[in-house]
Amino acid sequence: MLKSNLVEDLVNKSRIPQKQAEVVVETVFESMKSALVRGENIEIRGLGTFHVKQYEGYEGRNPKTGAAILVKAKRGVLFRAGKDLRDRLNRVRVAAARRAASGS
Amino acid sequence: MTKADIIDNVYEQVGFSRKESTEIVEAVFDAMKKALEDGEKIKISGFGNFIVHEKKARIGRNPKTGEEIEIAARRVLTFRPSQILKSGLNG
Repeated sequence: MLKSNLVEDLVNKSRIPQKQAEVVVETVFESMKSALVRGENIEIRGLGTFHVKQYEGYEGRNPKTGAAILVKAKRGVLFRAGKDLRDRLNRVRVAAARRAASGS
Repeated sequence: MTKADIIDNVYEQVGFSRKESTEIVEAVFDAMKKALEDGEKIKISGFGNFIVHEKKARIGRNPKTGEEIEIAARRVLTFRPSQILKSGLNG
């Protein structure tokens, strides 16, 4: 699924004009991106949480030459799926496992 | 940031009512959840990719008791930020 499929869904299912649907999808992800860039965490109920993590710099080594190099401090994003979504991803499987366990 | 803040941004950008904006933003996340539930990958250019990984069952161990237990096969969702998002964070 791509951004364009999300736009398509809004047009077909929510009956929103193409142009506005594009702006909506763009706005959703742009605002999430800006929040992360500001260092803000995001919590989307039902989907999950995005957490900005600060990594300290450290002195690393080039494994080939053994030369010491400074690895700079950086920020990364960690995502954790919410419990609802994790359960939904595994719902089919859990039902199948239960059936197998009950031997029917 | 929560969904409410995203809805506010959509409300300000597009000429929909607050109620409509709420429904539309919910629709976007619902569509994403459905795709993930089907095991589909989501690629949002400029933001990142959501990927569903199929994990096989394996034998794990309770670190406290040393007892072996089977960890059932399951699906795990990961997010990989795009290059653009990463450079935004470190720009």
